[in-house]
Amino acid sequence: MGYRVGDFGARPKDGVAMMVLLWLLSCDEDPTQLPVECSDAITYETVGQPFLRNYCTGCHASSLPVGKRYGAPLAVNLDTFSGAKQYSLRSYVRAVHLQDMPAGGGVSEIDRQRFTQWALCGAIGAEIETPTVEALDRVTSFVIYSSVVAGDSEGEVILRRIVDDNRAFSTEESLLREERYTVDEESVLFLGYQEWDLDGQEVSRVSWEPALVVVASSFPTDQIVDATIEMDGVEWTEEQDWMGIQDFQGLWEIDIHERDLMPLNTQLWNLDGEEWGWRTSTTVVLSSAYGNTVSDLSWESQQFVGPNLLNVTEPFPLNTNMEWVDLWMEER
Amino acid sequence: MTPTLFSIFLWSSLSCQSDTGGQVQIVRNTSTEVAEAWDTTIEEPDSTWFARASLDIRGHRPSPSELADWAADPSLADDFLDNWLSDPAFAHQFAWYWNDVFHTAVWIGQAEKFQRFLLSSEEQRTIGWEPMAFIEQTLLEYQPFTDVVEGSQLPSNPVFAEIFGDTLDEEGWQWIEPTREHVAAGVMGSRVLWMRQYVDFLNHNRARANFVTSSFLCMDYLEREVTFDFSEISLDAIESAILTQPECVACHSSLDPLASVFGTFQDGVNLHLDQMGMPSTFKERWYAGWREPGYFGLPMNTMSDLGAYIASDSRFAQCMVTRTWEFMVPETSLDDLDVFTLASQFTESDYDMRDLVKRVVTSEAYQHQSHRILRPEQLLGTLEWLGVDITTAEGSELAEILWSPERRVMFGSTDDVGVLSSNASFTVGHHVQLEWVSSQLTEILSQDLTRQQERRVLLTKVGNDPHDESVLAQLVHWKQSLHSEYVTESDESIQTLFEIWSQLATESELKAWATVLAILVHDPKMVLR
Repeated sequence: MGYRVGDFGARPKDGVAMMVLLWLLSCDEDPTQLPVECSDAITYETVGQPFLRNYCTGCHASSLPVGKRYGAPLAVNLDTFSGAKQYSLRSYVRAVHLQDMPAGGGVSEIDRQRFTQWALCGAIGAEIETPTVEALDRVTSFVIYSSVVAGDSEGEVILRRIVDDNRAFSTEESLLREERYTVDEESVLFLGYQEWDLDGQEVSRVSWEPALVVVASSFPTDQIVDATIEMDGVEWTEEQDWMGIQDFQGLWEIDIHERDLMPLNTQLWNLDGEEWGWRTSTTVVLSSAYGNTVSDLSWESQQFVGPNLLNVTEPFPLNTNMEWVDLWMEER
Repeated sequence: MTPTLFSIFLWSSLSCQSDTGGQVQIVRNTSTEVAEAWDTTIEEPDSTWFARASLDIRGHRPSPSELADWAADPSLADDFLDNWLSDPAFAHQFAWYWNDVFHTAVWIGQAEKFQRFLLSSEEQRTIGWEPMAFIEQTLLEYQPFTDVVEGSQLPSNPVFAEIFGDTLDEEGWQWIEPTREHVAAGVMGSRVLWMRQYVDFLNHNRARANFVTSSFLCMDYLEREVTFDFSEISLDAIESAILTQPECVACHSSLDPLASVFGTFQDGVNLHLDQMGMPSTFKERWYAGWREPGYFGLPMNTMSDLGAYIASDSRFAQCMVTRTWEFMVPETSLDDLDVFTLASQFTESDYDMRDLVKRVVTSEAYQHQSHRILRPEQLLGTLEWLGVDITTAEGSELAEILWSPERRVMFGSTDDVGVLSSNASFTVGHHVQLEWVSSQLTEILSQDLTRQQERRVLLTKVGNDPHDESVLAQLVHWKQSLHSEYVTESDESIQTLFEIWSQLATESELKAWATVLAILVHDPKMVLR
């Protein structure tokens, strides 16, 4: 036999409201003694877990550490059936009777009614099988110390970088890298770079002919250059196509970070010095910024800048005698 | 006061006087509400239900032969349903329903950022269909519907493969094993969907996260009625408030960790097309520093984890029930107790969508709903019964019913960009568009009259020298095809059409055929189900 919507007659949508009224008329004591319509269909699976996930477990979950619970007590966790049942009456009192949880409100009336039925009818149900996922360790793992010094010739600067590339703070695979640029008022050209390990052994050497244009008033849209590469004692030359680097370098960025206190601000300017955008990191450890450049090329960065560079607005990073540290957050 | 209310009042008065001894006392009322079981037996199915079920399941009306079989034995309803649900057309029609969620089918042709690729119409349609191909292939392969969010395969077809570099074994849409890094999370691993659900520079993938929760859990953060006492409008202040203001934290505590797993997708418009919807390991690197991914408080690392969580979430089954109901019974909402019952049956059936659809179309609510406007694909499917390959006939532009954003809107449907919900009313737009349909059919008729019968598209029942019997047979075929009415040559409506045809045929055979066909096309029965 088929089914007709509305065949149930009096439903609790109206009935519960009437009973609440009757209850308030008859007594004003324990809110958990409210008479409710119970149903075997109102279970943890059908009502309890959906309600708690929608409104509560973002803060009240057993895997969340203190810093990510937004003030939720460590002991009050609602992400399992046992926890949800244990705190079912308290959850009902806060979410339905007092309506002070979730703090911002937003619980629909039908959700309140159904949760009332579930909580006051014994919070029936059973544990629901849920995938087991171990959270990856997320560590600060990629560190670059950078400094800019004058080069050997007029207009040449050397960007020295110590690159820890082993995704941890170990120095075993760290590299010292020198990038050579020529800088004048019109342009910045990237000549090439050398890398050494921390024992002073050269790892690689790369140079471009002609040099890569990084910044220029008239920028080539498609740079095809010959790259001479020396690595592990072998040298070769290959043709490389460097489209789009102008866009990638087309924004200057200053990141400001107050460690452990406030989020980090990232300020962005275009090459004309006009403010292009900004972002505030939502982490308290590292900055992270991303977006599209003025010509919509993907762009992203994470950075920590030393206190001596706070509020610096001049072009960055190729002024001599500047130094800074990049920190990258990665999965281990 | 009714006896029932009086008894409740008396009972509640007594219960609050009970001594709980300082302990919480759980009081269960003796009265219970019980959701009726949903079975798949239908009583007294009528011809309206027959046509509606065919349209909703397969995207086209019953064939004339099915109408005849049905007229002879209406008790065959169950057999018809089983046959229709096993028809590949069911998977295709059901995928079209999901375009109401994904909104990709005709979107790409309107998006400026794709203009530089100079895509052909076929390429645009193929790319736009890819998210729905996840739905279609899942159903064609009789996979559990949870594979829509946790399947590991990708759909592709020759046109799509040419653009995205896939290797195929056969023609048409098919599952392929991924040949490079991608997300194994059903349609969330689509190479197109995240181009459509574009990342917002300031919103950090929250829109994508909300798209997933609203699509698969029916939980839309934007529908929450949250009261803000918040006058700051700077982005700095807003981002800070998200971490500290309770009214913000209420949603962002779960929304933002969900958004984190979408950070891996590339979004630069200067990328090649095959890269635009793909994960980026570069982004994964920095995004992990923004907010640790999490699923409503549970640990999560990848979108595959997200898919597995969603598949096991009771909200998913409830949401699929709700969506399926709304696709097929849009004007009557389903009581939540019935959602629970159907969701339980859906889960127990190992997420068999055919079983769920059968329960919906055999419900009395489905059977007794008021007439609805045909969706574009159903209208085109109806016209395709009219003749042979009429949408691909020379000069025919009828496929625009499905693929032209403007015509879709005029027919009361969506354009996937500006108009995202259907208009259920019969409007002047339908009249205008049906006039256009008539002109299209007239063009095909004029060409038919120059062809031999075996090569004709619309006039398949008549030869170069039509006689009364063949004209009547043609009219019956059209009437049955367009209105799903089982009629015979002697039926009054056919006789009336025949008289009109006879009078006009002395003047012009083309005019006679075009006129009777226009009469049938302009009948509201043509676009109602």
